[in-house]
Amino acid sequence: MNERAPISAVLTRASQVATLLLSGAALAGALYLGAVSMGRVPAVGPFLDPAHGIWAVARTAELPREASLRIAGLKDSVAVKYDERGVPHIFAQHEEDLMRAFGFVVARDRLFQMELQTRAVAGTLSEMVGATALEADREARAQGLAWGALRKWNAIPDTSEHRRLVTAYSDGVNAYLAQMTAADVPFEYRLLGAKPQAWKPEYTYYLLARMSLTLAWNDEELRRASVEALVGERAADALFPAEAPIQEPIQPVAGRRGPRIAGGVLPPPAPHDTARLAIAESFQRAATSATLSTRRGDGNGEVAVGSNNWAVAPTRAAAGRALLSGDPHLQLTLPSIWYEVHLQVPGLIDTYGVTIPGGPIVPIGFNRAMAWTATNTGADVLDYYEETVDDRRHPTRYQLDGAWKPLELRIEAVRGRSGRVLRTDTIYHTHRGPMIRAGGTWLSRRWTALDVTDEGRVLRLASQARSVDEWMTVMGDYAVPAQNFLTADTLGHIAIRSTGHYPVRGGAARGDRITDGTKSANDWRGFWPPDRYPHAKDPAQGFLASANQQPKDPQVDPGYLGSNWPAPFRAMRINRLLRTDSAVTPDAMRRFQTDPTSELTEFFLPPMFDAVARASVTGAVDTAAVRGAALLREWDGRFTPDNERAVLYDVMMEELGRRTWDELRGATNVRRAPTPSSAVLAQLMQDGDSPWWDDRSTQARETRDSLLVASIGAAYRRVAQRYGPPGPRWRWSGIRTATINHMLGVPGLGRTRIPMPSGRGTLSPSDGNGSHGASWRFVVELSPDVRAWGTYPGGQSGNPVSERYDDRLPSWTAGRLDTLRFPRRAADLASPRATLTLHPER
Amino acid sequence: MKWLMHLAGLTLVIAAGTWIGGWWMVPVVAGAYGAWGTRQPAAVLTAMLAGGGAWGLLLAYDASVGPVLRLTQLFGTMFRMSGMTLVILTVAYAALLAVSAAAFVRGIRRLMAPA
Repeated sequence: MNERAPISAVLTRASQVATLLLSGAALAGALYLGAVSMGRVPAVGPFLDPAHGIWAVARTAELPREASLRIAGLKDSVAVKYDERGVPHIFAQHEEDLMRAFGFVVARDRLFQMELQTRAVAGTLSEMVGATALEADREARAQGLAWGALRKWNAIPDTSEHRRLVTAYSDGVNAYLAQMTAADVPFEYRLLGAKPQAWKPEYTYYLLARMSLTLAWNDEELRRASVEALVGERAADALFPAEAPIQEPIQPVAGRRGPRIAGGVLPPPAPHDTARLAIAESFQRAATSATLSTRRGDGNGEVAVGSNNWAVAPTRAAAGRALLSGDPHLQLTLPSIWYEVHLQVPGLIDTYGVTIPGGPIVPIGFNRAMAWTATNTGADVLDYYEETVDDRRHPTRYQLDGAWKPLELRIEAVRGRSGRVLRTDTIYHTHRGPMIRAGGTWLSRRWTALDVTDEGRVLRLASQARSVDEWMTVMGDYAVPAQNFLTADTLGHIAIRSTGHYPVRGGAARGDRITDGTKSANDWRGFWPPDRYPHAKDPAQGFLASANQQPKDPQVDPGYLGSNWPAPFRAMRINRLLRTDSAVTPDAMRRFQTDPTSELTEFFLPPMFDAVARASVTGAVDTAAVRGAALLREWDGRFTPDNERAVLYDVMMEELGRRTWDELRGATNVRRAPTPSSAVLAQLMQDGDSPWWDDRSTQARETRDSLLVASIGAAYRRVAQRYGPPGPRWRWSGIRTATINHMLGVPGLGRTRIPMPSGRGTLSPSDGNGSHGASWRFVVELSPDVRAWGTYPGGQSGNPVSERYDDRLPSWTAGRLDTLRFPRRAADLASPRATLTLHPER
Repeated sequence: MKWLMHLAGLTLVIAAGTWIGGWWMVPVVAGAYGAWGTRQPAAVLTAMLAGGGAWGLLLAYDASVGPVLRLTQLFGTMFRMSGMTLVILTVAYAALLAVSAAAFVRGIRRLMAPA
């Protein structure tokens, strides 16, 4: 017994030690998991914590019914009332207070979006998401957008009112950050294990720069170089013309009631220039991912971002009041690019519209006297110059007028999440702008977006204008991105102007070609005067419209504004709808916004039917072509979701484009050059024997008719193979849908397979994957009590579990518009969804 | 009954600790309980149940004021698993923190105790 006792004690001790070690290891493991993030997996402790972690996102999903707090810097109390659609109506007594509350309110709903977009411009995404964003950050820094934005901000005098207001907005954002609890941290920060950063007033200018990147980026000359190498300069000029072959300009031409279609024969393709191809490929590689995302085509050279706007004069409106419709198209994301807001300071500001979260402006909206909206002008405001440098690898000087000039150097260090430098780049600047290296060539960029101009101030002031004329005067200083600004007022005026800085080029410079940088004579000499901008006011036709088409007919003004214009089929459709309706109602305006018909079909379907009929007589046709043509004869030409023929037409156009522009496919190591606009293809339809119809992959020499027959035959076979015999599987809603991705691309946070009445040439053009579309649709009736309706694809909240995250998607999908509340006083907004009262600090 | 009182009390203390101090309060409170409750025969088990229960309680509160169900569905889509998996993981993680902390501290106490 005496010997067993110590053994038992030893065993007990051993068991205790083992238990201790085991529990210690488990505790250490659990604590390590809790405290340390591993790769993309955030630290589990703070992430799962139901009081402050990811679960708290549910607690903060909806706005509290009533909230009140004090923030520094306010002079008076500010009342914020959220209507049933979650739109904040901000009532302040002073403009500075309004801006402070504005910043606070937007940050409350969209903080992560604001920071992410700012970082994308600044090239600091890697600090938030890690090295996966390194290349995007390097690209952003090479573009110099943040550099340019900071120059703009620094140029605003310290004493200016505008600087004070932008700073107040920024202070408002930071006031929100200061009072945030751990539970308020947006969802995405938690996924990334990141923390919100303080806001700086210059970030507003970063966001404006981002809009310029989306809308004013135009590196046509880089993409065009490969076309020239493949088919020669003459052909390239014809395929990507400065004068669109179908003219339906924004500025109406007196006496013209339809489009002017240019005749003429396209010059034949020249043989490939293999020496130039290699250089061209390096240029095309230099055409950045940003370009691809903003000018993505539908395979027939169409630009997928297709905005529309139109206004109707009182003479053609049922109620005798001017009407305005805005339908800006952009890349669709969740949270949405826009945030709806109503701002009021009695006697000074009473503006409703959409704002870019982070920018204290309402670029599209209305006030008590007028409404304004925009489509992108797409003018050529970015030129490339080929520079001669002293050292290909590490240049220090560049040649100008026979002398060596020093290059300015900008050192850019991209940091990762830990703060460690991931990569340091040197960006070289000539007097024109930053340089990029394309193969062995150094190209400098001259771009209006990098000029020291102040769009923020101009847009803010314009939203307070009391009439169309006042608006146009204020906007005379507006520079970039150039927009077709359409306005209408309660006095019954309607007006449009393609507003922005359009360069006057010197010497041999051509906007659509890479220019010799060794001569200062080739530099820009200034900009067009505003009175030369394409414009119209109260035209005799009683309406105005724009849809990104060439704004001015070159027969009216041959000055170069750009090239390779988007095809004008949307503009033609809008004008047709407006011409045929002499008593337009707001509801008709709404209906037009989702019109499913394309004017493009008129150019291709009748000739295709004729070609198939002729081929049937001679027997030179297969059954697929006959069957396909018969099916398309049954088509009503509408891209409605339940349509079962649109798919056949769409694939036919794809086949036709691919076969026609086969000359633009180079050697196997060269990526396919961009394809011409469908307006050029429509122009080519007039020349049935053009050598462009010849498909080089076949022995025979094709003509227009034989290619049309081949295209419809191939289309029928492809569609039947993929979707079976004609039937419900051919339904357009199952084939062409809208995709709205979350800004980070997180699955589950986006929305997919949304059926849309979109197709080639419709008001909502389709680019195949449907990730672009109407970002905000609204209609305003300029009656004494302004009435408005609108919606956008998403919702006001950035919180993915909030009801307000995507609550507008059903109305947007159905083409409905919500009534927009525009109360004159806070008290007029009965039963608000939530209220927030901000008081000055004691 | 006494054990149930212990369990309920510890659950509330861990929940309050998490609410005030954050996730790391789970092992701190459970560890303290492990040290204090060495004479409790089921102290480690109690800590485990209280840890999981506390976070379950907080989750229930979240669900009473916000769309937790929608959040679980979202997680299900994001991580391609059942939405409830993250709920279970959350409760299980708190239980793991609590049981390991209580057992560890209790083990030290026992080792340090005179033979």
